[in-house]
Order: sequence, then C-alpha cells, then structure tokens
Amino acid sequence: MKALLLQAISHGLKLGSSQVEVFGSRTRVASVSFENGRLNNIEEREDAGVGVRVLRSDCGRISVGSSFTTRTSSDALKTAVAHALALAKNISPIARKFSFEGNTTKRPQIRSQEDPAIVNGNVSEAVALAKSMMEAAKLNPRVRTTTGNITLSYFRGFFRNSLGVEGSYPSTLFQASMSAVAARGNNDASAYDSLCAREISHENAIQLAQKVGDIAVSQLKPKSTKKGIVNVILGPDALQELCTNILAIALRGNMVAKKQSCLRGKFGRSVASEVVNIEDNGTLPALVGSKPFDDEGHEVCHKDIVRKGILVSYLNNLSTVSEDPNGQPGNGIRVSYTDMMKKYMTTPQILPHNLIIKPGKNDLQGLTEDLEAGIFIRSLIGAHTANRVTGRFAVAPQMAYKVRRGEIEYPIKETVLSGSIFELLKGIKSFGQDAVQMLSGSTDSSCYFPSALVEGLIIS
Amino acid sequence: MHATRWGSLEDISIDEKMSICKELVETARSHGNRILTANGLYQDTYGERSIATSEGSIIQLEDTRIYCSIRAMARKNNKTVSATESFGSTGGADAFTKADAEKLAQTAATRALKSSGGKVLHTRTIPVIMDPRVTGVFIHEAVGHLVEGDVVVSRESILHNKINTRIASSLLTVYDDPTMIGGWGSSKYDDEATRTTERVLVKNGRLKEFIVDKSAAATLRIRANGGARVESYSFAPSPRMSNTYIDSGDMSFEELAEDIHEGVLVVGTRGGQVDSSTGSFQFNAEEAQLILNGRLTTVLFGVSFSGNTLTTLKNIDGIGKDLSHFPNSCIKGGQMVATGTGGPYVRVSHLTIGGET
Repeated sequence: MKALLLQAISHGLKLGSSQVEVFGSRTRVASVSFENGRLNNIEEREDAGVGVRVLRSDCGRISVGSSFTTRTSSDALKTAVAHALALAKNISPIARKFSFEGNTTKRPQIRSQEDPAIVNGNVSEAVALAKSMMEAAKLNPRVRTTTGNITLSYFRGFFRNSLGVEGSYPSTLFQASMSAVAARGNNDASAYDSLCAREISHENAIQLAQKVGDIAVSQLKPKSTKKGIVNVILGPDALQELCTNILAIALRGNMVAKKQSCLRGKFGRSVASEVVNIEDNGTLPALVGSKPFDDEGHEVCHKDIVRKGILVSYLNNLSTVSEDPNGQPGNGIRVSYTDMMKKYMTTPQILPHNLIIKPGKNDLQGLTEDLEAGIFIRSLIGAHTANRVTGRFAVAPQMAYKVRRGEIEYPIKETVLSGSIFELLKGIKSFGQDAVQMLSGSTDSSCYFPSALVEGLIIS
Repeated sequence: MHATRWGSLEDISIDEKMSICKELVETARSHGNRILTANGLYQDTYGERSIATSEGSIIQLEDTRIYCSIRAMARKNNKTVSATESFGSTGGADAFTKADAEKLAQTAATRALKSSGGKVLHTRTIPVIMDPRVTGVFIHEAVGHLVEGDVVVSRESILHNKINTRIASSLLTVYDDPTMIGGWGSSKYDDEATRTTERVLVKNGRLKEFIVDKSAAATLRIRANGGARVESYSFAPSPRMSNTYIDSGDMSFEELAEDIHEGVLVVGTRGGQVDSSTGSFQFNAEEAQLILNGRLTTVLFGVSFSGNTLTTLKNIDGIGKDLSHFPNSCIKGGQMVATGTGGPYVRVSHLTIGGET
C-alpha cells in the first residue's frame, strides 16, 4: 500500500497538481447477528481502497479535487488521481489560504491498543461472544424476543502527501448490540443498548445482554406523567444523543463560518453550567477515536472545548482553520458510517476524536437521591431532528422512569422532552460516575459521557 | 420534472452540473438579504449490479441516479430557520434541468422566508394535516419499518401477528412499489434476483403484506416478494423498503381543512424515528401553520410531533387527492439504501404537537 501511495503522488505532481494527498485503508470485519436464541447471520468481509485529494493552483487561485478507487492497483489509482485533478479544474477556487499538512516533525506516538484477538482472529471469536450473549439473555423469563449483533473490525490506515507527511496506524473495534422485547399479558415493552471498545470484553457483552433484558422488563405497564418543567437525569445514551446531534455539529468550524451553528459568536462565553468541562482527546489509547494523526496528516492532541462552562474552542480541519482566529486543525476525519470503515470514499469533515465529559462521583442511586423528584431518561429518539442553528430540540424519551422521593418508581408512557442545548448544558448540576463510550458520527469518533442531572427541561 | 429521454450521465458536462448547482444557490440567494445561506447539491451516480444464483438466475442491472437538493436558511428577529427541497430520479440524465433547479430553489427560499416570521406553538393535542413530504416520511417510519420481514420474523415488530387485522383507519391504503418508473427506490429485480412487484402493505386499513427477502419468506411460509436489498456487495441482503407511499384519497386541501376548528398544517421534515417494538414515534416538521376555522392563519416555527403508531394510524380521518413522491435514504443495520417516500395531504384527528425546533 505504501508504494502505491507514493506512485499516486508522483503521478499527481506529473499531471500538474501542486499538492497531492492520498489516504488508503485495509479493513477486515467479522460480524454475527442472532435472534431468539439462534445465530441468523455470520459474515466475514474484507475491503481496501484509496482516496485522493489534489490541490491545483492557477495564478494563485487554489482549488481542491477528490476521487477514490476500490481497486488497489497502480493503474486504478492513476485514474483516480486524474479524475481528482479534472474535478479540481472545474471547481470554484477557494477564497481562503489552504495547504495540505506540511509539518513533518516527529509525531507523538500513542500507545497502540489494538486487540490481537481481533487482529488475528476470525469469525469464531464473534460466534463465541454471540452465544454467550444469547445465554445471558435467556435469564429473564419475561423477555419474549432478543436480537443482537457482534462486530469485530480490524482497520489499518495509510497516509501520505506530497509535502513529506506520512504515517500508518492500526485500529481495532469491538461492537456489541442487543435489543429485547418483554411481555406481560397484552403489554409489550422494549429496550436496546450497545457498547463499543478497542478490545473484546466477554464480561461486558454478557452484562449488556442481561441489562437489556432487565430494562425491557422494567418498562412493562408504563403510566402517564404530569406535564411541565421538570428536573431530569439523562443517562449516558440520552446525553450523548443530544450532544452528538447538536453540540458536536455546532462545534464544526465550517458550520460556524456558514452561520449555521448555534455556537457562533459564543467563543469565550458561558454556554454551560460551571460543572461542565468538555474536551476532545484523541490521544487516549483505550478510546476508539484515538489515532496518532487525523485524516489530513495533522497530529491529534488533547483540546479543551468547554472549560467550567465557557466555550474555549471550536473544532477545525485544514480547510476551516484559517477562518478561526483561535483555531487549530487536527479534527479532519473522513467519515465512515459502516463497520467496513470505507473512509477513503469521503473527504475530511470535522468531527471530534473522543468527546469527553469527566464523570462525577455519584452512582445512579446517588443521582436519583439528589434529583428527589423528576424523570430518569435512559435514551431518546429523534435527536437527529434537532435544529443545529438554534440548538432547540423536541425528542421522545425512551426507557424513561418517574423518580419520586429519590427512588425510581415506575416506567412512563410516551412523552416529549424539549428545550435548547443551552438550557440543557446550563441546567446540569452534577454528573454520574457511569461514563460509557459510544460511537458518535463515524466509526472512529466517539463520546465518553456519564449520566447528568439537569434542572428545568420541559416534559409535554 | 419527469424524464422524457433516458439519457446518459456522460451527456452532461461537469460545467453543466456545476451550473445546476450554482442555479440552485443563486436563485435561493436572489430572495434577498434575509436568506442567510443557501447550500445546493447536485449528485449523479451510475452503477451496475450483477446477481447470479445457483437457481439459474443471472441478472444485470444498470442504476442511473440524479439527486439535487437546496437548503435555504432565513433569519428574522434573531430566529433562524431552514427549508430543504430535493429532487431525485432514476429516470436518466435529463430528468432534472436548470429550470427545475430554479423552481426547487424558489420553493425552498420562499418556505424559509415564510417560516422565519413564525410563532412558537405550545404543545397541545389537536388535529394535524401532514403535507406530502411529512406523510411520506411518517408512513416509511410508522408502517414501512414495522412490516420489513426481519423484524416480523424476530417478532420485534408490533405488527408481526397482525396480517388481515385492522391496524388503521379504513381510509388508509399503503403501497411499497419498487416497479415505479423513475422512482428513487425502484429496481426491476431485488438483490436476490427475485422479480419485484408492487406490494400492498395496507388496504383500507387492514394489514395485507410484509416486505420479505427469501429467508423471511421461507420462515413465514409466504412467497418472496422482491424485498431483498443491499447497500453493496459488502453486505448480506435483508428486507428493505423501495418506494413507500400512502395512496391518494378524494379530498382537496380545502376540504381537509374546512372541518378543523383549531389545528396545524405541518410542512417538510428533518426526519423522524420509530421504536418498532412499541410503536412510539417522534417526527419533526420544518415549518407549520395554524389552521383556525378551516383557514390557514399564523405561521409557526418548526414543530415536533410524537405519539403511538397504531393510535395515529387509526386517527387518520381525511386523505387528499394530490400524490407526490420524494427521494430519501434509509439506514438500517449499517446499510444505506435509496428509498422513495410519498403521499398526499393526510389529516389526523388528534396528535400531540408543539415545541420550537
């Protein structure tokens, strides 16, 4: 792959590109899905491809073209380079200063955390995990239906540009998901949860299966709840849904520049309560979004985003950083939605590597005692329909419970939770100790969020 | 905007494609300074699929797609709203022209400007008329996903045991039709080489058919009906929707509105979500307008509405006669496929609606 990338760069320069950047990857995936105690789909897949970006300079006017190929041959790559250059000729020049990454100094190495069982393993590892989860799911007799999936992905990314920046890194990803339907008489209730990690954990997968079954049963016979302004505990999933769909997008430098971000004009200002500290840290080996450099070859580092409630940074890539006087690049990520990590098919967008909220000291019992009365919401649906420009949302809580006198009392019926991201962040009083890692917008971008006790959201 | 000639994408130069995209943006921006930004997209794809099976089928299919969209954002009194219009067709290279782009952009800009002067609707339960775009997404989420064979087989769907049972108002008929000419989710054969057919999901309120691949069909002991789809060769097929829509009724918009003392018209959507095992759903509308005594009155900001699928389907009490189809995409199990959604204006007797999104 490395020799191929070098050939592509030479070819791009020969055709008249002023700069060339290539990103290649090889991915191997084992995936097993199961339902109601039987394995129903087992897959092993492999993928490889190369994405190309060329920079064309014409009398000082710069334009960028991109292309990709799924055939890792020299000829296919030359064709992709020619396509990228042809597109660059037709694209309007970009007004701002732009160059591919030119810093060739040695990058800080993050400790490699790939799981050898995924690197060397095959589908039998995923089958064993799935069987363990199916056994665990049987434990609760009220659970009528279970479905789940185990996916093990091994990815290796290769980067090189014509300015001499190059690198390669491996990555492993373990994903498990489970949904369960519980039944009592004519009453059905469901639950869903998932986990992701760098390394396989049988224990966590089994716990997930048991937990989902128990949550489904705890949802049976829901009752209506009173409407109005309430205090809530947002579980890690619920907090992640809202922050990923509003905050992580509003932090993007391009959204700020295009006036499409609710965080525009808020740099240096209070956007959250003082207990809120948010960072993006792509250097922590255990988190799935960590990598030595981003998909533009810029080193990944730790970045404070919100410090004691004050917005102190937006996220940028090489394309947007010139418009942000306080910005640093390093968040250029070629987005991949599927486990195949076909990152070469996309061009670098702006995403956090690992968006982290530091956990608090309380367990769930402690948080409900602090809440005294309100709603505990494990998850919610519809966060993707939130308005990123205004920050307002109206979403449907899932797996939600009434809390009274510091105790979880009963599951609640369909309701709507509404407010703005600022009301939510400013209403946060404390965090739980239960931070979990979840994928967020791409298979190599994550959130690490705990539960949050929030005052003053609207239930209707 | 329908294709009269099934041209090749190579007939369109990059300059022409760029000019369509520019037309989208410039037309939207020509509506004045209150249009804050306008983002236009032109996208075309050409693909070939080959499917061979040990049963003797050898199928080769060409897939030509054009997709255009425009998102206009408008601002008034410190409030920012957006409106998106899109067009998609599998009907050849000349399915979309600069004139079509101009119309699309005008609609998006006009809608954004209109709703930027909106008021907030406090949450309440009242009659709602869904526009065709909202109708399409609603029926995709609320019925389509619940009749896909895999969730029926696993019994995750609340409709898994409801064939021939009344699940909706008798006014409601829902199709999933992969044979629709030029449809965004159309294909002559599915990805298991089964010839596709029009599927009647709901007929006069009764659940009639599931969308199945060969595996689900065998488990349910029914015929495969061409519902197997994949994103690419990387994946195994599973039952997926094609072009899902509510069939037209016989009422004009005025007739749908005339009985409403106080209600809301919802227009455009940023999407929605349904929990298939409980049927609870949440949807968002880009804009809304209050209906008072049968007349459209105050413009509202985008709203959110939610409820239970089966209850809402039973509360449909009026269906319009003008049917429209729209391009969408659907992600399930990590696979994205092109799906069409559509329908006419549909009235629901009561729905919980409100908020400011």
